[in-house]
Amino acid sequence: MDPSFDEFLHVPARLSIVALLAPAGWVDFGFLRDTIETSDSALSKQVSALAGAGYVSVRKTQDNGTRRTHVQLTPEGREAFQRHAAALERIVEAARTPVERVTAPDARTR
Amino acid sequence: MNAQDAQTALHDIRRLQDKTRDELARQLFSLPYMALMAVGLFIGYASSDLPGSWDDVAVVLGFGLFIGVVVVQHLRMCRASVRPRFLWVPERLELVFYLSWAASPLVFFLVARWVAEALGLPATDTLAAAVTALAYVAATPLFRGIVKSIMQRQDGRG
Repeated sequence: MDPSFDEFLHVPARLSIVALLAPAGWVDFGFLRDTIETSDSALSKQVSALAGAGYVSVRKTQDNGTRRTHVQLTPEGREAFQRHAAALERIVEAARTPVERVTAPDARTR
Repeated sequence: MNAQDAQTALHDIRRLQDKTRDELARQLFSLPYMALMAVGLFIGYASSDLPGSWDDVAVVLGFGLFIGVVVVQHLRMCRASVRPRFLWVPERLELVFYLSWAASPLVFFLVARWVAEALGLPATDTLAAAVTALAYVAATPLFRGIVKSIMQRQDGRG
């Protein structure tokens, strides 16, 4: 197994959250929930796990009397995500035959 | 972890990252705001065809509306459901895009006016202003696409 492969991050729900957060700054909890199509409680559990690992930070605000929760990837979380994505690419690349490597250019994770 | 699972995970990552970038680009170039900015551009650029001191009033009103919408749009982004990740040092290509985007209405207008004058059309400033406003709104998908590409480059940079 690639040493950069992150078992903790590879849980599908966690990887989805981190992938959604990667291109943005603060992201609304509702956007994450609706895009991943999960429940508040399931998302909350995974966000808490990620926050506990130091991969995301959570901020709660009041907006016109409505309580809103925002989530952001920490620098450590971003680094871990990039390492993990690179590990996945190496696994895919290693499985390709030499002919495939020449004909199919590597579509790198952005 | 086999290669097939890794490939599936990578596909999911790219799909989800694209969703966030789509949302950011949609918020940055929101059509109602782009339309309001286009109205401002039309009033501002068409002002030269107005008589007397009305042209000054139209310039202030038009470009004031344009700048006002830009400010409101910026404030809205600060409270949006998905907020951009600002990088302090833009690449040269990104800087070129932002400068080109800022200059694009003036370029549209000057070209359209030159064409209108060459064709001997009346009220060239009003015609060119209308073309500029329409082109600005029509270019919204292009602006969104370019911003998404810039975000992809930024993500690649970390």
